[in-house]
Amino acid sequence: MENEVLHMSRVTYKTEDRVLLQDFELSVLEGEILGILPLNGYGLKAFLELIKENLPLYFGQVFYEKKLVNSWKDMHRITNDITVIEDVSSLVAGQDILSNIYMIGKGSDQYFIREQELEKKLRPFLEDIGFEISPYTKAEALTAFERVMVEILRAVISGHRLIVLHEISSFIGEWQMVRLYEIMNHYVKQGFSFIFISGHVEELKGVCHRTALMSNGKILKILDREEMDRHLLKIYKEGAGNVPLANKIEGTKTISKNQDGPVLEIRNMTGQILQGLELRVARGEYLVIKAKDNRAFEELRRYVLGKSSPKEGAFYLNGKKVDLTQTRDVAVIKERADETMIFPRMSYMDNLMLTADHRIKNLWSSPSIARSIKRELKDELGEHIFEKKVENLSQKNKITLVYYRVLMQRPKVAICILPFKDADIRLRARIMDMHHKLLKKGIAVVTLTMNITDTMLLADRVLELDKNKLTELKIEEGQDYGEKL
Amino acid sequence: MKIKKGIKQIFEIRGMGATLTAFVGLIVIYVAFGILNPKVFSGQNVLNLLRSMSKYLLIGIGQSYVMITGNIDLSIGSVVAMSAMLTATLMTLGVSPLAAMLISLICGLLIGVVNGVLVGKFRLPPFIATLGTMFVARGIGYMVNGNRNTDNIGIKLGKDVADKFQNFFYYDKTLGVYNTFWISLVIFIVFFVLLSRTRTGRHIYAIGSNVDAARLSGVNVISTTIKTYLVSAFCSVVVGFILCAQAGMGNMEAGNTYEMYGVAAGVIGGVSPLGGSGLLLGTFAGAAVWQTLENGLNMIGAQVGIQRIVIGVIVVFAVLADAVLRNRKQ
Repeated sequence: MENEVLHMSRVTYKTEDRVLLQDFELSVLEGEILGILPLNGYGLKAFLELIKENLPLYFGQVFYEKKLVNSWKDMHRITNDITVIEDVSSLVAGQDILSNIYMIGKGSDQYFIREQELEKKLRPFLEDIGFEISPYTKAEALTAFERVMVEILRAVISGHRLIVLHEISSFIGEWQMVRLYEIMNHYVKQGFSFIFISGHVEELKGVCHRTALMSNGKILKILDREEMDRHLLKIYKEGAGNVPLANKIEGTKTISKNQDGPVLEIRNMTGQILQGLELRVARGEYLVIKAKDNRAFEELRRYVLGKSSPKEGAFYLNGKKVDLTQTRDVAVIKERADETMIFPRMSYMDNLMLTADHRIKNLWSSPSIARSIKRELKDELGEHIFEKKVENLSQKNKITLVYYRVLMQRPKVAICILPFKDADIRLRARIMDMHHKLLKKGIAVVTLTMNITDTMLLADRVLELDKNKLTELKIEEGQDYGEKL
Repeated sequence: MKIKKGIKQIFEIRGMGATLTAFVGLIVIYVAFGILNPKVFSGQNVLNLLRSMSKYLLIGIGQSYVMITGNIDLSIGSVVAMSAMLTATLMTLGVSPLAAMLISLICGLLIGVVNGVLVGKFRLPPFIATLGTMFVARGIGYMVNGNRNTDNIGIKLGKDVADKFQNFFYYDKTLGVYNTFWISLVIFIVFFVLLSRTRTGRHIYAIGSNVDAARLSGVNVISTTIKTYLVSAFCSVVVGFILCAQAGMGNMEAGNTYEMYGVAAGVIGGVSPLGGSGLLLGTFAGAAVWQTLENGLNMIGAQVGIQRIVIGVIVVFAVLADAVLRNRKQ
């Protein structure tokens, strides 16, 4: 226990009806980057809440900085000085970096704001990691990477010895990840510790000293660096093994791609970052757009979601200008589709059929149509799922529902934004399976992503989005599924 | 077995639980008041009840449509007043009832469009947007007759025409029941079918359930939002006609706080103020509960203050139940 910053001993945590963590054993050493590879997402949220909030335990003990902070025997309910960095910002919008670090965080005990003094305090920390930014930048003006950096700085300045990074690569680009690793290693040398949670093996291999495999709220195994190469891919494959992905995926690239002309185009799209962006999507193709520049990616995402319009240029469908959100010929699926694309207060069938009413006459007035759809899909979706409440479905079933809605909609193009965000291995395989189904129906799939590894099995083309151009990346044929992952 | 399955299917309809609860509540309240004062059960009282609840039912339909999208319409009461004042003023000027109603309807629907555009297109908070139109509509209601109530609507049209108008909307009966109830029932059936059996209806629920996902699924959020405010405005205008017919004149204060009656009717019947769920059948029950309470408390001689308190408590409990149920599900 000597050098442990966090130690969880046989922790069992349960809510009213579910055991979320069971016999959970984990320790994080001082100056260590510990990876967690969740084979499924079960219990992960509870783990993050528990280490920070000291939720009441059913059994076990938690030590933080060598002090017992939580025990099944008694409840302390103090919060631990641990920073968790996720895709949702914890910075206060409208406040600048200085205020967020020193006035809102625990960085300073000053009551009155003396900005120059605070700036003097902050400057060495910025220089220490070579991070150039105005301390007066407002939180909402920060890029995703800058925001992560500010949150790390706030943690360091506030004296949080443990920083948790959760699925960071789902919202910051590849070269920024490299920079992040450098900074993590810099702080590791100063004795800070990190928990790095990622569903991508290659990320964990690159940065973590040890990696814990987590499944169903349990730590299955902890592997050190040497063991990682030997074991991870095997376990990873086993994790995804029950999903009928690998065999179905075979032959995907033989699906006919009609090359008559583009079905979807971006012509001369110009905005704040994007300058004259051009893109052509062929019928039935699987196109991956990978972000190199985060701001350009975010801008394109906003245009796809219809949240803002470019200064110039537009999307064109079959040569005609189109608003992507107002045509049934294009389906847009947002990240975390199980939360963002579900209508929780509508029935399963209403969710399923919502965008099919342009194809099926009298869909809403004739109950026999719904019955026949149920009959048709019961083998694929399960006989009893139609009667279940949508909000009670599993993450996988919710995702399946969203994609089946799109399949029933029969668009010409499906645009999937960060489809693998926060998805565990099994869910990622399921999503790929759904993408494959779309392709089989002749629907072109455009995936906007930060990380291309999941999409490589299906991708016809991979384009890297920089400020004003899309560069095609070469796809190597014949690579093994496991190797690519 | 089939009956059991059928009952199960009915209960599985979203919002049906709350609707049935409201109907059971209605029966309990009605019987309880009937025991306290048997006159509650009299045929004439039942007819009066049906007529009086019609106004709340119409207001409730409009407000429920808006609430299912997760919005609110505070301008309902003012549109009622505007409609009543415009119709009455025009009739006192000798304009035929049909033309007067048509002009009032157009003005009312315009308010609905403005509400819908402000909320749907410009994304103004519905509370603020409809608060503004509430004042505007009430202001128009005041101004049309120079800041005073109108004279009798038959002053220029003659007694016969005025009577026809009043009888059609308020005093005449068809098949032994007041026309007011039949009018509201027809409107209820039309909007019930629109909400439960059409594409527009599903889009309304989709917006209330997850507006972002609805937009990404190709639902035209702006036009659907406008449609809901149009329904609300239409119902308010009809209530304006009914109030005008009832009094035989236009009253500037007509429809005061009716928007809240609409909220109450919807909420008691299980329409969630957070959007996405609720059945118009529940609104029917909610309006009936509201009117039965008012009627019953009157019949047993309860003070107006007591009536208000009882109704207020019931509304709060209905919303509380909705919130608790949602939290439990989460």
